Amino acid sequence: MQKYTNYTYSNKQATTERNEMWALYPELKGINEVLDDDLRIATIGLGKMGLLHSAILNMLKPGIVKAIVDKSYLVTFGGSRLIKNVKFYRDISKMIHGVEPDIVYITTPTRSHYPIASQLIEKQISNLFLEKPPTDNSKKASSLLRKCGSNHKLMVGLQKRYSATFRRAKKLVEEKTLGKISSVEAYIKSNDVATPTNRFDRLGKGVLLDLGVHLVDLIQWIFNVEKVEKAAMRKIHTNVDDHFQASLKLPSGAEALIEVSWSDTSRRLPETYMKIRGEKGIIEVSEDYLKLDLPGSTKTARYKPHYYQGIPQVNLADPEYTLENMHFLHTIHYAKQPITSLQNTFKTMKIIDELYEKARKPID
Amino acid sequence: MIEDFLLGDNPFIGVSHLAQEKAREEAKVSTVKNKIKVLKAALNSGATGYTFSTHDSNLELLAAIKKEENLHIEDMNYYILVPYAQSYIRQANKAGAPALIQKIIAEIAKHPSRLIHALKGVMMIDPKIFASLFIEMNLSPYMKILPPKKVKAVLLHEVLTELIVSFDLIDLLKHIDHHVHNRLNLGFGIETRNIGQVYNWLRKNNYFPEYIMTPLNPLGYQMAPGKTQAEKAVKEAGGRSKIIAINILASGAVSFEDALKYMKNVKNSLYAVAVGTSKPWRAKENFAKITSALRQC
Repeated sequence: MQKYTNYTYSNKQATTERNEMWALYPELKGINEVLDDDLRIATIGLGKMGLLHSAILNMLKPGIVKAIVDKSYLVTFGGSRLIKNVKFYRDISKMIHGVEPDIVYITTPTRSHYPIASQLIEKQISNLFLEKPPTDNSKKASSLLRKCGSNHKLMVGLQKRYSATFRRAKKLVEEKTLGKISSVEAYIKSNDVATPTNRFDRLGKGVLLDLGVHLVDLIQWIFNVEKVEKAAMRKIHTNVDDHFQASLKLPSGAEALIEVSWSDTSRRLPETYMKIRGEKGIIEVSEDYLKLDLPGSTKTARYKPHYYQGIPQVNLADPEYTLENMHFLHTIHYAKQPITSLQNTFKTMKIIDELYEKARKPID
Repeated sequence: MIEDFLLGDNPFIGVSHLAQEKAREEAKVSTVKNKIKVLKAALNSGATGYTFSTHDSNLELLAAIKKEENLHIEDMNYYILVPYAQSYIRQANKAGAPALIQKIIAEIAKHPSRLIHALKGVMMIDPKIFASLFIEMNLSPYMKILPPKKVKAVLLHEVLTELIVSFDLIDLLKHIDHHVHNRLNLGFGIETRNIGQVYNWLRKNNYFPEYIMTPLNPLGYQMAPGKTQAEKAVKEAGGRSKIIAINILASGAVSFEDALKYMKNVKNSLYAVAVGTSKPWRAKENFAKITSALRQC
């Protein structure tokens, strides 16, 4: 592993780093007032993400999650025997009637996002958090947007935009620290699908939609993608895309090469990585670090512990999840639209559709 | 006074909270042979125990230690972190949460010694019984290898601890504690990265487990809700539970010297300290330094 600088701890250094960290989240000013709000949250879908968001929210403000909806009898019955301060339901309408939630988190499988979100919008639930991908295609995303009134907040769980390292990378690119961008190489890889399965058959889409959506969203957010140039996909363990490669054209004329896989056995956890080359230097960034190499002047590497020094106030899974949830509560309190609103992430969904269209012919 | 100096297993099982690229590099050199060398070096320099997750590779390592001539399994105290959460997260990704729960229940009931308790769980409709049996099931293969008197504590992995606290499941935590103490005759504790919130919750419920394992480092990394609050919580909880400090190097972001300087200020609240490395020379160097700096009162 490349070490750019020897790091010496001092109170002064730590204070500077903490201040720099908070500067990456200007939208979170006043978060303590937000947590004083008396809000009622319901989670639909008690899988991994439903549990994670509910636990973070309850750690941020004890007892804020009032209801959980899940279609599994085992989950709702077992849950209700164990968790006494949350009401369990198998029916969304009954939950709305019984709990009258201010916010609903939708953390069910992707195919159900659209009908559930539509139902909640119709029932006048104003604040919705939709786990990624928001829908299985951009048409449905567009339809949801049309259903929303001006009072609706529909936030998408694209939490990489709340990661400190990627925020800093975006800032450095916007400040032209690298000068004109000449190329981007990026990947997102996990080992989530390491054996044959047919559970994605009904959805008909695989790793690009499920995992690659994070990478495409980051590239779109940081650079603003102009065009899809090339795309190719490959099946490994499923009947859909397990591996996806593509080339995207950026406004500077540069090419962004992306690779997406959920069958990479060398990964213990999912990892997102970008190497951004500009006329003045290189940035390497992942969830774990940001390395900046400006030949002749700066060569630094800063890792997760340098960013997340007691920040955020809940540490469960990656810090970006807590920051994402804080952001959502903040936008509700201050009546703003989230950075990852469905509107703001809609282009990501359009690019995903285009990528699938371009790659329609698998290269088996 | 610090009673135990522990070698941590993170570098052995491909875990780094600094960067995944570091974990992958460490995993490349983490053969059983090399891990044994690291353990020997650590023990020769003052380490007194090994803290590890119920990751399959640790089963392989402990089985190999049993066959070693120059390293005796009785030479160390053991602190076992249960379960290895990532494996269950991956299974949940693959099959979904309900299918995973069903699979776990079926596995629990497979073993004759757990079957009666599992039936009790069904008859009483009590998920707490299944949760305790789940912990027992994960421990079972390790307890076949380790001398029970050398297993000092079973620690609940932070994912479960934080879920229990966030959903206010004090009865569940007490049930698991009772199960581990009375049915398994082992010490019980929790691991947390949210020591401030967890301490307040324990205090509210007037219950403290025997052990609490939590990160402590000069940066405040993984010390929620903030460094100052976490330090205060450790100090106050230290009077009720035995505190095991982990991640004292902030995953390698601070130097050993900076970490030691910091640990000297908090050592009176601590019962044990854990440090991980994948290199025998570093184990030798680090444990010599840490034991000499923190052992004297």
